[in-house]
Amino acid sequence: MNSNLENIHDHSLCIACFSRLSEYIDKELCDAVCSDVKKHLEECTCCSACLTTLRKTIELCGCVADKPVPENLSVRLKALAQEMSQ
Amino acid sequence: MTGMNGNVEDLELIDSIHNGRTDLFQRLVEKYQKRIYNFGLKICPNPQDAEDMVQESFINVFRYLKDFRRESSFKNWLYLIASSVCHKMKRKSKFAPERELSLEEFIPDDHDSVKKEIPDWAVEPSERLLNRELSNKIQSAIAELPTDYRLVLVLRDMEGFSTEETAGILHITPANVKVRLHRARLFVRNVLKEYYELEPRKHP
Repeated sequence: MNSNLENIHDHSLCIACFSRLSEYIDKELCDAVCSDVKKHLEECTCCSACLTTLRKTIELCGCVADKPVPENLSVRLKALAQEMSQ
Repeated sequence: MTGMNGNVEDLELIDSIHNGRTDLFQRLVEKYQKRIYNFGLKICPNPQDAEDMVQESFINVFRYLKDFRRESSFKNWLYLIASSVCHKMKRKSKFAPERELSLEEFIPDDHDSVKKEIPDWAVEPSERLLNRELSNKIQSAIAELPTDYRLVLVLRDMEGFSTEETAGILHITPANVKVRLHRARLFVRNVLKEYYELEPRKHP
């Protein structure tokens, strides 16, 4: 009986956690909510996996390399700056 | 990132421009053209639109520089102008159709269907994962986002602005930034998950 009860997972806690994962990652939650989320993450492997994939997504977005400015645009901007400053 | 020193340097340049050294406007353009061009590439649907956006943004910067109040850094003000140009271009072009992303669409219906294991890609070092194909995948996922969500994700996660700064640049509340950012990230995450789940052996 006890073991059955332990297996019943409260999905509403997952949804509450899921909706706050970005704020948790960004350290934008107040202490009380942060510790609730942290506690849930320690207990729920699904939400913990969601956290890891979301973190990696953010990291990958931040690593996309910039492209050089095309030469023709650079020339156009230079001409524009000169024209505007006259 | 242009930090505090960068801003002092910018303010000195702007003072000189106000004092008649309009030729120094060229220096501001040279300093920021790469950042604004890359911002444009992430927001606009095609490279030509990004180029037009950069040009239009610098025209506006020069036109309104006298009104720059220094309540924010010059860099933030420049992004405010660039974001506003993007919004104007969106109204008359073929940006992705606008729609709201709801949190519900990212919540799995059935808890048991959620994978408990952390996928390999989520623990690989990013520099090992990030080849040209994945970069293109991320960029096309971002391009699919509704513009309001795309702007928030790009400013926060790619351009490095804080929630408060992003709110200031887009004239929305910090709470709104957080809501849009979370949904935009979940959208991109789903694209990445599908990408890795469809052909896992193809990827490192």
